[in-house]
Amino acid sequence: MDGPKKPDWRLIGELFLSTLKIGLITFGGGLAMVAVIEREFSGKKKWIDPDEMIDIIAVSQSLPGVIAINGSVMTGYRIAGVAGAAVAALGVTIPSLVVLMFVTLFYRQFRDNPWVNAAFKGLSAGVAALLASVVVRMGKRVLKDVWTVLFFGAALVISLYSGLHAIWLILAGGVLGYAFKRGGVA
Amino acid sequence: MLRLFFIFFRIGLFSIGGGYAMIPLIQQDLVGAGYMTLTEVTDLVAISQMTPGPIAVNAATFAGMHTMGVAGAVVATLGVVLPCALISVVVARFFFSRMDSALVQGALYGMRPVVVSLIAGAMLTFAVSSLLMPGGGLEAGAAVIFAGVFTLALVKETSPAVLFLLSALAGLAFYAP
Repeated sequence: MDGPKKPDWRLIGELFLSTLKIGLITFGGGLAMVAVIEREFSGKKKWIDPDEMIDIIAVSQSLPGVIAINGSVMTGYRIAGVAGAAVAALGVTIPSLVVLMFVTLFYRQFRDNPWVNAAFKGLSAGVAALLASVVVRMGKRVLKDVWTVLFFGAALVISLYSGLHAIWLILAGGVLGYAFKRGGVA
Repeated sequence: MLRLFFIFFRIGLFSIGGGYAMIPLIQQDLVGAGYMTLTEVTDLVAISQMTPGPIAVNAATFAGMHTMGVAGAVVATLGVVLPCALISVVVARFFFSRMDSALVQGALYGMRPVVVSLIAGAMLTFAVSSLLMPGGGLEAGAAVIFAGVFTLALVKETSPAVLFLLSALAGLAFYAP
């Protein structure tokens, strides 16, 4: 299953507008961004299967670079081939570029503005809540047996207390997952 | 200008783990090359987090704009986005064609729960910094926002755009001077 042979320009245009919107509204960085992509693309638009979306997030976190770009490019590719990947990358980048160009001009005023800070406090709590809802929703899909629950718990504890880089946790999960499946344990 | 492009190209190519992982590299390279002072890098980190979009892209635009204006912003941003976009397309091609193999499915079986725990970890970081007061104790306004957004997201499946807007407005209501 590759991208469609003939580009579907209507779909590609819609994909571009969606990613543009996501780039403009999403606070909280890369993981929040892929969470919002998941919500919009597999929840609302049914462009992509929710399980596949989790797999895309797993792969994009283990690649070098910006998680939000990796995630949106892989999602765009899955939905509409190379053209989809290109518009998704542009879509999540352009809003940042434009917003930051303006903010940089008067960033000290922006940073010290009490209104901006008040809104940002609200946004941080909102990002935490949004991510919490994603954890619950994805948890229900992914944590299906004792091993996945164990993997989840172990990775959470290790990442919170050891500061071990996420890539090692993902790789370890991959190796153990394969070994368990292969060995018939899971 | 070319140097700026390559600095960010390298950052985009070699940092794994997203925006926060890039910050030490950005600091090293930009301060090292004399483009920015340490204080400016601290500002860059704060601003990149307070604005919408991927933190690394925000940081690249900020650094480019700050040192060389609009052209610098575009060049630095292209630099950071290009390598990851190219790598992702290549990987996507490979990944989607082999997704059903036993190897990939087995690996994904173990990787999926780790991803959920990484998102849970990011959630806890945001929750701790916004819900807990520096001296301990719960920040009441933020707690109300958290509970409200969590309920809306899970029960009503409210769209993220509306949730972000509500959080920002509630933040203004609770914390504006």
